[in-house]
Amino acid sequence: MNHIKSRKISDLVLGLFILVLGIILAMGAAQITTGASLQQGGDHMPKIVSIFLIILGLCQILFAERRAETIASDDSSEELSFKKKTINFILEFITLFVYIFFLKKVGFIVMTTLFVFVQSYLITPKPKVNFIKMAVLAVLTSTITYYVFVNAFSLMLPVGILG
Amino acid sequence: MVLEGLRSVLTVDCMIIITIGTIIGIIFGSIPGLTANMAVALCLPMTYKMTPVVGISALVALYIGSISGGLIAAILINIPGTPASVATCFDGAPMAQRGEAGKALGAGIISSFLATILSIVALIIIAPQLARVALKFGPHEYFAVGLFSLTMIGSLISGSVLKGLIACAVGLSMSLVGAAPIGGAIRFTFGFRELTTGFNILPVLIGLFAVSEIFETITSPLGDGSKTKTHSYKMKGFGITWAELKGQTTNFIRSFLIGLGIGILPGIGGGTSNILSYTIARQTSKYPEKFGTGILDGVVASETANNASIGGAMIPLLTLGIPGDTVTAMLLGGLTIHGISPGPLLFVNYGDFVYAIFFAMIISSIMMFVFMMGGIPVFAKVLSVPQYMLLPVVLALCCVGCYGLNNRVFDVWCMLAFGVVGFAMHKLKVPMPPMILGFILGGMIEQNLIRGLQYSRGSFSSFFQHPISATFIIISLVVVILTAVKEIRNKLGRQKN
Repeated sequence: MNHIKSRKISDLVLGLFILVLGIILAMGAAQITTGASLQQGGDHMPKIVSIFLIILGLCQILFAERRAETIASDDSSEELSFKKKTINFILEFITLFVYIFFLKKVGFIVMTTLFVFVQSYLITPKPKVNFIKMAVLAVLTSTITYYVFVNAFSLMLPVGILG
Repeated sequence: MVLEGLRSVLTVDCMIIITIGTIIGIIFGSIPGLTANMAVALCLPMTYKMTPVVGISALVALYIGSISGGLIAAILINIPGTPASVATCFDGAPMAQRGEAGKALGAGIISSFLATILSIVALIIIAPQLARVALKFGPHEYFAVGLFSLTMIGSLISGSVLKGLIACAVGLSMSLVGAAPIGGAIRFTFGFRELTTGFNILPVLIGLFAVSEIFETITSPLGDGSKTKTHSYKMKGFGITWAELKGQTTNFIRSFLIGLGIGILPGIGGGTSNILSYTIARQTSKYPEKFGTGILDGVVASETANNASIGGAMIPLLTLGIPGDTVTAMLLGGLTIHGISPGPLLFVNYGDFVYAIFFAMIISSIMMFVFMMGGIPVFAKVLSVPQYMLLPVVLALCCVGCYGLNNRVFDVWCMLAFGVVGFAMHKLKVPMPPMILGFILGGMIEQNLIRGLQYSRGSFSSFFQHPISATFIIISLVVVILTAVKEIRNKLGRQKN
């Protein structure tokens, strides 16, 4: 029951998202300037796709068969699991966000070492956390990757503060 | 042309790269949570500076290794190494529990090897013929084939035709970013100069496949960190007798044809074919009740079909530039980076390169067979490496791949954004392959639609005046309508019950 309910909510969310995407695309398509010589210009396809998105979004909302009363009651164990999953995802996202943000300024080796260490800590089951192992893994990953990619594969990776 | 292709593969560099690629592929395939897509995504940046032949040889070796390697985990720990080996678990794992792991592994490896080789033969025979036909294609035909590919995958791959079509439309809208293919109008760049040429294919693919899969794995329970328990096994010779092998001939041929056919269909590959082939093998068997209890038929059906899809998936990629499955979508990215546009002209302008790919695939298959037959003890050990040690490294390497493409952080941001999009789509049960195909084919569909309309002064009826184009458009419409009707009927039936 709970599964059916969450599926209906997600179907509804998807429908709304697609509808909004279609409307934004249609508004953007209306502003595309095409040359006077072109009968079918760069706005043609966006207009077609936006119409499709709006139709599909509306269909998705109609078929979602939402039932408001089922939204209110929630199973506490699933709620907890959902919360945990959401927190895990947000933590992963923030780590990756910070990594990318400072990658160029701080440099690949330092940021990758920190990133792998923090990531390992976040996803390792708590009884298995071993800081020395994680630190060794982080340092080895960043340095080996850097030297292999820069020297063997001639890729430029940001040097940052070590440069 | 054939000899030139062979010569360019039989170099020390290329052979070393194929060897390494096959081994890394098998390792990625055998570790649950690491997929063929990740293997190709991760190793793509290493090929940037290689010659096209060496680079693409590495990628096809990874492809073959990873699809084949999935059976090791499926049989020894009852967890599919890749989605292409899901059905292998059904009978492979019970066989291992009964002490017949050696036989299951032997049958799986031999089936995988023979199916890969035969699918490459099919590729060599079918692809040039198809390319010859495709040479006569104009904008009407290309548009219709693109539309057909999208509607087929949108209708067939997911349980919901609506969600499949939504995925296609989202993919198409992603392809609209940047300069229009005809007229050059700049669209939806939101002030980012980097988006003038549209989203780069690699960050999109790495984000949607690798990063979203990592997000998914990370937000699922990773176990208590204890070592994975693998079944013990003994393997004498090939693990399977000649009589047992001979008894599987019909099953093998049927599964091969299913795998090849599914592979040729755009966007669908081993992940679908192994389950379909297993289901049909059970339905047509004289002893369907034995399926799931640990019989060779199940392992052979699954492993034959998933490897047969490899050659099948390469056919539309090389002849039309339409990826046959998600890994070939990554290969398309690899080809683009090396300045090669797949399509019928590839066979005319770069014939030796095409044959080099064929030979690289054959060599990789042989290496896969040798390494998997001889190296099972090593690969079984790899299974015990915990995911929490591997995933952060994989994620860091994904970032390296995206950064190295143009030496800019913008591509890494795109990777993250598409990782989140992929994760959200997964949570909303929207299938990923139609979205990818929509993104990849969007430019081609738009360009040919506009050209076709310009030829006929804006009239769409011209698309129905060309027989090939009309046929594909009508089939597309029929498939969508029939699938939708079937779905509505099923839904009404369920509601009645």
